[in-house]
Amino acid sequence: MTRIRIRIVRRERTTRGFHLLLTVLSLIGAFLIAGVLMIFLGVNPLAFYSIFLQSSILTTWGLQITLSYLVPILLCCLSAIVSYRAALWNIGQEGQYIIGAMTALAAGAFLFPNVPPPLSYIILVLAGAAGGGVWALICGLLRIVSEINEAVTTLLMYYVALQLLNYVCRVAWRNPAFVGHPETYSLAPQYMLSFGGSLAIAIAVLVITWFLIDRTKLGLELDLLSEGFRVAQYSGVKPSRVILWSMFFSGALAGISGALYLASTSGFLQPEFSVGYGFAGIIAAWLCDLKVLYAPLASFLLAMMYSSGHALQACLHVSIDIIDAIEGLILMAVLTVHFFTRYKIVLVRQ
Amino acid sequence: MIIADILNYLLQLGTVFLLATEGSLVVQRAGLLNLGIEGFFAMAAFVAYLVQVMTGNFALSMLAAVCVAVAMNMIFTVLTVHLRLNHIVSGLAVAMFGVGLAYAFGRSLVQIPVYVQLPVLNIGGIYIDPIEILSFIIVGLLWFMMYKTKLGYKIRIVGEDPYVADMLGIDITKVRYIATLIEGALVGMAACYYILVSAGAWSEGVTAGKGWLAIVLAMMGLWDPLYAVAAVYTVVTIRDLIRLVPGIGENVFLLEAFSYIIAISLLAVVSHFEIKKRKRVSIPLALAKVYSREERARKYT
Repeated sequence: MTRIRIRIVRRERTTRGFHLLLTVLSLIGAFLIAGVLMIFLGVNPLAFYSIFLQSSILTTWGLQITLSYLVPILLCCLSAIVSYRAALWNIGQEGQYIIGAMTALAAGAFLFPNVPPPLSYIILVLAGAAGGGVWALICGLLRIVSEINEAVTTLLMYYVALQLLNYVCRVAWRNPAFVGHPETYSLAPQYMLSFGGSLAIAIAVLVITWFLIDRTKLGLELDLLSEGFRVAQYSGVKPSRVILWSMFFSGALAGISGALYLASTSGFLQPEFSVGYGFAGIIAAWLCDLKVLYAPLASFLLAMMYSSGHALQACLHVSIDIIDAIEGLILMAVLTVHFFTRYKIVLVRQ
Repeated sequence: MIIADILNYLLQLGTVFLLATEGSLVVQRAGLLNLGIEGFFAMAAFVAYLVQVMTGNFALSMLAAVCVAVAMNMIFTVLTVHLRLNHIVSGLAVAMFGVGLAYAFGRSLVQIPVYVQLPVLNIGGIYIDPIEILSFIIVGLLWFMMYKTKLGYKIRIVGEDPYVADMLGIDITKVRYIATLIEGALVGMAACYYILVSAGAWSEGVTAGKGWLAIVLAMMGLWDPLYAVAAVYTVVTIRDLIRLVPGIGENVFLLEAFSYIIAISLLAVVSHFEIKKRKRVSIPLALAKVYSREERARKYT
């Protein structure tokens, strides 16, 4: 009697085309399942697809909105890439994004309101980077001192940041000129950025990040750490030092994301400032397979999801929360690709 | 009278977190770090509320919540156990999917009230309902299972060193499935009790952060069913005495942030203490590490 057993075998190597093909297939799969969810919500799936495309890329205003979401998601994506390359699981980008925006506002509205333009942008970026970086660094320290899993602490620190955001909007920095809706004081006008300006800064950050982690020793240290503590130690790298600087770097990127988004949109904070770009960045990071140069493309797709959210709510009367569910589906699908590029399933006859 | 009110409230919220924490503890003991708990807590709460609105039967709602939580937890198990994917990112995917789905479908429930009256035992103004009693019975049962039965031994060894477990002939996949099954059931119960008894109404973001706090509480209780009771009731007391301070107004957000910081600090202190005494407390050393049977040899390369 022959029995057929399923075995999972590691692939020796995969081509880039195969990887791309699987990624595209997985995205199609995720969107097909999203269509099924739409049927359960009482919406015609075809209407969903058409509104999704129209409100994100097919119309000029839709494309503009998508591009405005691109910058924060791209920077959060870079933040995720930096930490995941080192096998550090920073999943609190959203919290670091909030804190980065808060420190940028503190610098631009209260500490240095009278600085002239070129210097003001440097202050904006540095303040955001410092805020987000320190927020993530706390979790790195806890990892080293108490061996607490950084995924759990970064997530809890997101909740701390969210409560602080509510507090500064409603009490500490509340602008009494806005009656009714809680909003803070605004950034000084010379801190405000156009969309092009924030995109230029984001591209500069992208190039610097690419250079640092793909062309210098720092990137090698990340890869060594991801192979394990022992491997890093034997290679002469101090794991605790790499953990600290990569957590700071990762948090700083998410912090810059918050600062730029604040300066290129309203200039003041409100409780709705946190809409999940940090989580979108994590998905984008897996979508581009942790490769910095593909990050813009992956982030653009996630930005499309966000720009279609409001149109879906307005035209089809589905809650905007469905965007989160579809993002979860995309992440599952992309992770499955990760499995199939590393392993293959073979049937063994016994 | 006020003290009795406070105790009633603490007992209700404590029961929610105790059930969810015990669930998370079992699965972490088996070496899986399941962040998806946030997602199926939300989904189970939504389904419990829906069934309660439609049938008015509490037992039926709880059954539905348990089924949904177990089913959604299977997504996580397939991703991490069969597809060998990273626990944290898989959990995050399940969490986003569950939370998004629950609030997208749940929007129609916002204005609909439910009325659940469980039979209570009145001890000097403190009302104890059957689920609260059940939560403590479950703690005892889990303690017995974890330390006195073969299954508990298998769960602990799979979480401590899956390579050794495999050599001992333990079916790791099966043990991890059983652990996630227990987790799903307990979290489903917690979600149903929370939304129908403790919260009492569906609103946007009503379950936010509950599941994630349970993961931290399980770690704080050093993955022990009895210590977890202490961890849960300490943090719940701190969290919810804050809200009862008179005249707190909008400062509640600052204090809420502070309560999360307290939870993180307590975890840091407990973990630091635990590292020094590692010989005495057994912990899931393989937590969040992917086990791949065909690549056992790679562990040593």
